[in-house]
Amino acid sequence: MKRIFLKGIKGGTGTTSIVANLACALRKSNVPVYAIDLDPKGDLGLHLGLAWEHQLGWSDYPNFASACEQFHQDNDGVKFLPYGSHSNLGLDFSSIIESCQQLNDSDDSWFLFDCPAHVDVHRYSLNEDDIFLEIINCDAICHSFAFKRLNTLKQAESSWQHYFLTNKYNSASELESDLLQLWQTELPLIAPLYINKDEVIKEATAFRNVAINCAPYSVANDDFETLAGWLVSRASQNDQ
Amino acid sequence: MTNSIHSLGITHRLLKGILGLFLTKQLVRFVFIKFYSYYNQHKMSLLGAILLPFFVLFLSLFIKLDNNKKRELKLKLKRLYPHVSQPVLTPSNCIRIALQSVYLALFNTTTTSQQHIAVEQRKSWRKLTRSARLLRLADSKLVRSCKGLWLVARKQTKTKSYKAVSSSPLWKNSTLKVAFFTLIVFAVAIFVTVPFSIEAQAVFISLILVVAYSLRRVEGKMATIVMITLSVTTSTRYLWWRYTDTLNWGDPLALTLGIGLLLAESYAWLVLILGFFQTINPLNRKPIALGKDTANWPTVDIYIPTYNEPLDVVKPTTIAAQSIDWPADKLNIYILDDGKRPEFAEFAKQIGVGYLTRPDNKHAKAGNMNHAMKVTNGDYIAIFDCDHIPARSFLQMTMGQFINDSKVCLVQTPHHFFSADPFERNLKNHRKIPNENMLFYGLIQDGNDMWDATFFCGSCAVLRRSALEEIGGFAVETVTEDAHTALRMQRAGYKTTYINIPQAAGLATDSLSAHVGQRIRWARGMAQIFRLDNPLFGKGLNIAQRLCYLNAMLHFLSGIPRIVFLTAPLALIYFNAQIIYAPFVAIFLYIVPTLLQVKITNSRIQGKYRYSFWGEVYESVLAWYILKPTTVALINPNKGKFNVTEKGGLNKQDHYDWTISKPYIILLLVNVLGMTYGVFRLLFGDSSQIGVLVISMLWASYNVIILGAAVAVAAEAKQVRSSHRIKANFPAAIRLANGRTIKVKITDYSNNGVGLETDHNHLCRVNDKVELLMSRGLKQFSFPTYICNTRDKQLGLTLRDLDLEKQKAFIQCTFSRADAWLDWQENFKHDKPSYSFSHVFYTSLRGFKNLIFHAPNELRPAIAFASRVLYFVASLLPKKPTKVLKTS
Repeated sequence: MKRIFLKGIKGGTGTTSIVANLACALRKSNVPVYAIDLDPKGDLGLHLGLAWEHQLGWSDYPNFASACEQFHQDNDGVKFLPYGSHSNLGLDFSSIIESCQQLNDSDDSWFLFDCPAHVDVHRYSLNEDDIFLEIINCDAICHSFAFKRLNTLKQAESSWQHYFLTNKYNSASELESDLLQLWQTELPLIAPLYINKDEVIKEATAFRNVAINCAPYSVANDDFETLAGWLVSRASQNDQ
Repeated sequence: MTNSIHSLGITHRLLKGILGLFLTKQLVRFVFIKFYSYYNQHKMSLLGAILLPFFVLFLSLFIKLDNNKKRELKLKLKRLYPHVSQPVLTPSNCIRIALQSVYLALFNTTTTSQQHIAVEQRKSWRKLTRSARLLRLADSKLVRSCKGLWLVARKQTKTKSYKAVSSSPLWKNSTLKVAFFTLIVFAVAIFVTVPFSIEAQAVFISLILVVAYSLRRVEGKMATIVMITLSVTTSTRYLWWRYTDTLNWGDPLALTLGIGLLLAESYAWLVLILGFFQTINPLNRKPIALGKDTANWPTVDIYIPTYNEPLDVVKPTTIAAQSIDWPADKLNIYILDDGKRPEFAEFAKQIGVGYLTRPDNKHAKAGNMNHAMKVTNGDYIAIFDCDHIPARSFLQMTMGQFINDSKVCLVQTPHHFFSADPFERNLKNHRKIPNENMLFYGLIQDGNDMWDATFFCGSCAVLRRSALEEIGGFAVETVTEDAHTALRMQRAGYKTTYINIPQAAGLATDSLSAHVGQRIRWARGMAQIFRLDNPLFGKGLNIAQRLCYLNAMLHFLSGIPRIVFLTAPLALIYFNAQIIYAPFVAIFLYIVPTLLQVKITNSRIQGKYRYSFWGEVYESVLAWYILKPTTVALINPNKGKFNVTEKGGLNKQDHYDWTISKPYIILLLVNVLGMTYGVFRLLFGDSSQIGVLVISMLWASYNVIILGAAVAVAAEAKQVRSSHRIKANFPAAIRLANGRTIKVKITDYSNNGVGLETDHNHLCRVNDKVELLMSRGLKQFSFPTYICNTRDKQLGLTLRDLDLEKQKAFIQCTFSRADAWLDWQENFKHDKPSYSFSHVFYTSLRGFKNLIFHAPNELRPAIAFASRVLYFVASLLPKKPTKVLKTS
């Protein structure tokens, strides 16, 4: 069981679309993939083809066993659990994360958690095999936040693997290409890859699908496959 | 008018009256109708028109001529005499009819319909190809079985007793070695000098050919060495025979010409032997990695000497030099501008490289670099001609040699050209046939490296400053400062090395005349070195180095021998001078097998770098032009100045360079006339001479083919693009104006554009603005571009108005990629002499066609007349009857 947590360093970094695309990319190697929406705005389902009328999610159930019936499966076979309408019936996100252990059907299964930007890393109980990806965009705000995060990580003993992942990178912008180059040389936890800004990611949601299904010849497709491959290599290092 | 009709009317009536006395009314009417139709419609003469109706009447007494029959008869005639043109009674038609009648009478032509002919042709063609295929199959089977035989022999030797013998200390005994070598030399000497009868020679040479044939495709160095030994034996034996048996002492003219030919042959033999020696064991040096700590890496100055080249040529080189992977504080780049142009100074300042000029331009390039050495102080000096764009890995690949061995003073890398040289462009075989350079940089330099005799080629190389200072800087005495400098450093005890990995690429010369000019300079320079600082003498060199230098010099003296070979067969044809004074069979048995043997061996050794027969073409083009400068330089080495090779030019349209091709055209004319005269002599001359005459004519026709190819080179093809397209294959991406991205593969690029291929059909249109995304390491660059052409999966993009930063990024992503030039040698298959010959042959045919096509205006009427005469003569010849459709 491999757990990946994805969280925007601030709102609007494009975390949910990464979760959806990454889930589908991982699913291509025919392993069980679960995507769990921990974000109260609850839009992961929309990315994976759930109808907007659908109200229910895990937050509308008193316990995990009953919430399990809200697991949906998309066309690729990704199983995902939407957040729901936030009824506060007793389940909170940490218990959901814990309870996911029960689903563990094989060692190869992947759990992707779409974490809300406003909940801090330290409120999750993470073990050393977990990978925490903090999504950043190439702008000055994220730059400050990233270095701030580095400081907090230094203070608290963090045992999990923490990485910054650049999203919506546009090399035509001078600021962005300068910032990325700076990060690649100076930011210790920067992932060795980035997701390019790509219209197809946006367009795919209009088809109620993800970019890797809609645009197999796009750079986005490559980026997500690279990301999946990189995560596999990270996770397999854990296993050894 | 009315009067004449009236008078005609009178004659008409009169004649009608007279005829009415003899013939029926019907017949009279017939005669008159016929007369008028012949006279008015067919424009026959008056007499003919009057007589012909009677002739027809007369014939009708024997043949019944109704309309149907007449039509059939006409058709039949039309079928049997298809080429007889309309007014039938002309002199040429008389010949046609006579010849055709003879042909029809003598040959069976009844069953030959067009279809039948086609079927027959197809059948015989199939038979031909099948037999060719069978031959090839047999050949490959034979070769494979020979290979198997050799392998079996090798396996069997792995027994215990063999090992005991092979590992015994006996072999290391030096007296035994000496004895063994003496024995070999002795044996070879016997084989060379013993006079054989013609039968014995036939047996001997066929044995050698059988061994060579079976060894031809066997891999391994041993087989090569055996083949070389055989070639040395046969060629030396041939030369020995020539010296002892074939000089015609009785005929002074034949003796003089014969000695001339013999000297040329001796030259060829010497070059052959030295070539074998030079390339017997190419070193293939590998790069040595540098230490991890960059603080210990030495400082390097990069010199980019320029004189009159445009800034557009120098710019990419400078930018790429800046992008070489080396600690920035240890890398200094200088543009050495002998043109002293302000825009160069400004460019240098703008991008932050050094700009050096000097008060005078003494000693050209060498002087320029010597001046730069005085004002710079790096430990090493890398030199790039201003059009050679270095790859980023250049210093990483080369500098290890210096660190590894403190005696190394030079690391040379190949000169690779991304544009087609004049041969490639004008013959349209760029990247299909290895070019002239390939042999030198692919094989000879690696062979030289084995003997510690790598030459310095003036660019794409790194030199050790201390070594240069020891010999007093770059040599200025000759026009090829590079070779001379290396020679001096070798004399001073330094080693030169070569790494056969292209780490820079440049522009080839862009016209044949510029190409020839460059070669003239090299030839003159080499001849100068030969006179001023002869590598055969003087101290500091070992014998192998001397021989390598000797071969290099000899290569440039090929002018006279080549012209001798191109004219030698004519001596017999024109003057009946027996320059090879021997019976026809002996000549045949000595020359042909020896040539075959040498060709096979050379094809084996050089096959990947030069295809058979192309060497002759290259040499023939240059022969006349290097003849004079080398001779002059040998007599007076201080004459002549440094001429700069022009590059980066354009040919606006196809044209034919008549001035440069004049010598070959004259040679060609002489040869063609000789051939014609030879045919004449074959028909009417002394029959005892036929054998020798045929050999001479075969040789002359070979010369005509080679000269034809040389003539083909002079047809300058147009070159419209000022920036050359370079083939590539690496991934990139584009982002369309709507924000979508597409993965692409870069298929080619140039200074200001790229060609792409997408995985699926795209929907781009010309003039769309797209962003090109290319990566260099982890860094991605984005370039604003416009689409300039589209085909289903292909896209052409132009880069417009890039600022300096972006230009730099673009060059880093393309030209200076470490792998940019790596595939240059892998493109070529191993030589196959027969294919290569047919290629040369077709090139030669194209050469003749070019000659006619580009003929000057004054000659055009003559050519038109000649072709008309040919057509006319051809039209006289009998033709097979063709089927004519009934309806026509």
